[in-house]
Amino acid sequence: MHERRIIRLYISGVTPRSVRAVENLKAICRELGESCELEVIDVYQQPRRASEDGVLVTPTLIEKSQGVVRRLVGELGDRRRIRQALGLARG
Amino acid sequence: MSETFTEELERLRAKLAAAEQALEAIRDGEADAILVPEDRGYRVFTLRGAEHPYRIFLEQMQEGAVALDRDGAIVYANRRTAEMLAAPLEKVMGSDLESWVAPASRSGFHAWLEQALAGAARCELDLIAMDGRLVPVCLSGRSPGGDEIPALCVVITDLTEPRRREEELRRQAELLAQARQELERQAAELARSNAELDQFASVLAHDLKEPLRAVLNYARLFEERCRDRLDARGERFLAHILAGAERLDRMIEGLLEFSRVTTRGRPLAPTDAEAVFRQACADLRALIEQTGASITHDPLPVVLADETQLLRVLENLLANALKFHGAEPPRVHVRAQRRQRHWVFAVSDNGVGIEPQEQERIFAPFQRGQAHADCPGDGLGLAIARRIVERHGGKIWVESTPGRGSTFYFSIPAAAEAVAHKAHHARAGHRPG
Repeated sequence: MHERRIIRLYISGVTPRSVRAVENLKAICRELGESCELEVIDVYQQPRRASEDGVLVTPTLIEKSQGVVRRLVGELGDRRRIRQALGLARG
Repeated sequence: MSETFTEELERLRAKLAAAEQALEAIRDGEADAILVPEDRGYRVFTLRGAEHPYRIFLEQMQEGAVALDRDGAIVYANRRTAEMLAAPLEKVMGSDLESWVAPASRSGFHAWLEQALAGAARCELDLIAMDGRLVPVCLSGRSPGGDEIPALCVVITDLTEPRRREEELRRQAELLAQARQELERQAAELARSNAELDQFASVLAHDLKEPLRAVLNYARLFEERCRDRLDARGERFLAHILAGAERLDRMIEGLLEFSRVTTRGRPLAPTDAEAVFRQACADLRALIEQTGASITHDPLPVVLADETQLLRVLENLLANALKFHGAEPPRVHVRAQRRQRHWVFAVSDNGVGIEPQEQERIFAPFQRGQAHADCPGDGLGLAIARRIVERHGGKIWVESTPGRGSTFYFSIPAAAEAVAHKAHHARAGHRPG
């Protein structure tokens, strides 16, 4: 039984950067299949959640699992960088 | 040396403190802009930009608004969209719009998406909310074109309420149609039953008349030829036989006339009530002279009526006024007053009046006022008058104070205007039996 991964992406509105981030994360989630769930949070709409996760800049990617917090801040256009940040490094 | 190091440390500490303060200010929402050093001077990032009002507009809008990327993934959704889908915003954003489309609507959705990405498109389909509810919506999508971000802007209009209202209207219309059908059926039934009754009354009257004619003729013959052979008692008996037979004859005549109000009525046409009134007075001259009555009237209008029938109504009411007089000679006054599309005629007398409990009953067939049982009459005059007035689409009623007199009112459609003309056609077409 895989542990279900919840990946949170904080964005602020529809910008080229946030669209690229969503596209890349959706692609990665598809690779991971059922066990991955993507949550996209617009800080305009839900500023409280952003502050709970200590987000200061958008876009920010956060994954919390088993006490480990993985965080990637800024440009999310590079899938390899995202995979590394999520501990998904592969060949 | 160590002094410079300490100084440097202090400078860095101060810089860090400044940075922390700045961060705190941003976090607390006290900052308006972030300044980022660039080659020459600073670049200013305002936290509340010119796009802020548009953002509020989108967020507060009572329609769903989503932005899609080229693959149909939702990169932005406003709160209304999340409400419609009964899902948290973060589950809506990042999801594929298609995943919210009901299976039956999928092919329509694909066609819409393709067309919208090529320019603009609108379609109606069903979404499935997170709670399983089917949400009928209108999707209106427009692509900004080129490599603009987002690839597609979509407004989602919830059609649940309009659909419910449509359904309700349809249901009401159906009920109305049903009620109307039922009403038409009942009207047809009533017309048929009325026609049958008229037919029955007419046949009955004819069949009764023949044997009665024989009774009357032979009783009169008997009176003429055999009177000298009768004693006083015999004469009295014969007088009773004749009176009874004559009364029965009048009743049958009345019954025939009653049934002919509808079966032999003529089309309504402009009729001068003044002339009709004069005719009625002429017909009643004997009774007027006999009672010493005075009959006065105001100018009377032209109405839409069957002249013969209007004459009958006036004659009936005038005759009643003359017959049921008190100690004084009868004084009768006739006038008419306009009420919208009708003229209301009033025939007032100074007669004995009618008890309140009798005022409705007197218009029923064979229901003469109890107090006047000894007065001559076939008991159908007012029933016939009512039937005639109702055939004209009017009403007849009485207001009376016992001992002081009565006023009979009846309404008849006016004739002068085009309205009256139309009413004439409508009524002529509606004439029952």
